[in-house]
Amino acid sequence: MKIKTIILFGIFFLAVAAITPWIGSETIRVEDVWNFFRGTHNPQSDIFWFQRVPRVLLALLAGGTLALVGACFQVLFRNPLVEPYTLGVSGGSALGAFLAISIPSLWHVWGPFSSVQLLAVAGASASLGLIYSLSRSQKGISIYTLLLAGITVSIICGGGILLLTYISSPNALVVFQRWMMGGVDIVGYKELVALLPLLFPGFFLLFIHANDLNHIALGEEMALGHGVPVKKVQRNIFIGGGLATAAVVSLVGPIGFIGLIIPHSVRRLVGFDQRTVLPCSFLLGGAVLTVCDCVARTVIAPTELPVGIITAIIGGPLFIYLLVSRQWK
Amino acid sequence: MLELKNIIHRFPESPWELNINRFSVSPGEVQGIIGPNGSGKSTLLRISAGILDPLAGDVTLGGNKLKKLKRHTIARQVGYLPQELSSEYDFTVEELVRMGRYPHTKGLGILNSTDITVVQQSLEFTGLEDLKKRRLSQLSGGEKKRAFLASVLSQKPGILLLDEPASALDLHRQVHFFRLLRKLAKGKIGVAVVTHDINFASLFCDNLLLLEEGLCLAQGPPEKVLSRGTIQKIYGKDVFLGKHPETGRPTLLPTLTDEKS
Repeated sequence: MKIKTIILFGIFFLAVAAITPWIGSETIRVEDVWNFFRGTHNPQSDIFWFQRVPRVLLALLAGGTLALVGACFQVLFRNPLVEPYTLGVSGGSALGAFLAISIPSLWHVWGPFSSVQLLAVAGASASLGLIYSLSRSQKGISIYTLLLAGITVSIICGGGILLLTYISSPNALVVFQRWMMGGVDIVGYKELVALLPLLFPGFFLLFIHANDLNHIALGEEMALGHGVPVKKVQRNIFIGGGLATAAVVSLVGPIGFIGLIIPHSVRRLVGFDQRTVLPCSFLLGGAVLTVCDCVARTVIAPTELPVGIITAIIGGPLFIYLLVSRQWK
Repeated sequence: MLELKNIIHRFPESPWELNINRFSVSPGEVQGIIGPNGSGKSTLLRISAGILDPLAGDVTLGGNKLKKLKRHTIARQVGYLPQELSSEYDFTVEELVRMGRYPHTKGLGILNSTDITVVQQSLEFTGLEDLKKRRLSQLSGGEKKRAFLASVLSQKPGILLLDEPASALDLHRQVHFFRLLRKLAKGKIGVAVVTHDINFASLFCDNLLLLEEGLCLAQGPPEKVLSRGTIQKIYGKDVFLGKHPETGRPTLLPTLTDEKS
């Protein structure tokens, strides 16, 4: 475990968190931000505190979560191409969100929660529950069945989404399409607070098994030989990763590549010890998504791009570079 | 002592069955498990390590049923080296050996001074001290096997179960590896080793268990197990049974009968 490396990543994370709220189409002065605490409100201070800061916080949390879950799943499945969405979470989540968007009677808002978010979490939970029950046997979870069930559930959800697309109104289609592009544009802190009940238990289940994941990376039998309760670890990582991903996807939509690329990059930078890889993936994932969002809201200002487009444009070529450079190595 | 009694195991949709009346590993002895492919050697070892639950029979460790013990309790007493070793995640040798202290640590696996001393001893014992900073991808096949053995040794087990640890090693490395096992047995560790090399098993093991199609064909000292009768039953007339010039232990060589005729 490399504490100094984690601190370095932490400094980068905090630097991104401190700098990015100041960047945007509207110029914001330090006095505006400071005067907010003295009770003097103006449009600039409101933009800073109620739009940019919550947006940056959400990007930090969402990017961090996706990268963290990706890092855990890649070791759990011992497959470097796995990402948080491999388990069908995004498929179930998208189907739930689309139901709320396309059926007017299902569109509600209760405090910090909207029906889009709740049905997205419900869809993700239903997918996870189905996949878990399919892959469970007397001996525990079969990792291969889990992977195949995840892919199958994604395909089934894709079918449901196509059906809804066929029968939905054009307005609902536009809203859904925008949701699918992913975005961290929230106003205020309510939605952020609504994330925490799912995120914290998820993080807990993932971080407590950081050391166990090192052994699972050596193969199931070697891990059992070292004394790791492999089935329990697999179950907890599956549930923890599922909960955290469901929470994030319900709010920001399916943002691709962060969960795939960041763990690869972190392993190149810090080595393979998961006790260092997991916190560093969270910190780098959060920082990178925040920077991508910064680019998304400034590159063709005042128009904003969905951040999912930026992550895909940057992430795709970067992943190809990582693959090719690894082969050459 | 690790003891297996009346073990029966089958795999789903397969007529094959493992049926062993008694098998044990005691401190200070090297047990060789030999037999042709598919005879059940690895299955028996996996059952001994608690990796696989048998359909029937008892596996006990120091008088306690293995099934009732927690994995880290088993790992403190039994070290298991599987046949297939994964090095997709490119740890350094030192990181790998430190991981062997898992059953003696909690939470994030932070090592204390005792753990570090044990890791150092395991590296020295396996001759890997100079290679400890190397990554697994930078090691030869033999060095990699030794690195994984060092990781298992740092568990400080009383019983060591090794599944074909010397396969794919050259003759010199194989001799070195089996000498390491003898050294471990001198230190009161019980070793059970699955091997395809009957000559090495005969030379370095105190007792042998000869399996064929899931059944125990013979069990005991090499001189008793490697008799003309059992050898002919398994390998036909294609092998010649001789004696090692230094130890007098049985050794097997291929015959050229077919070519002569």
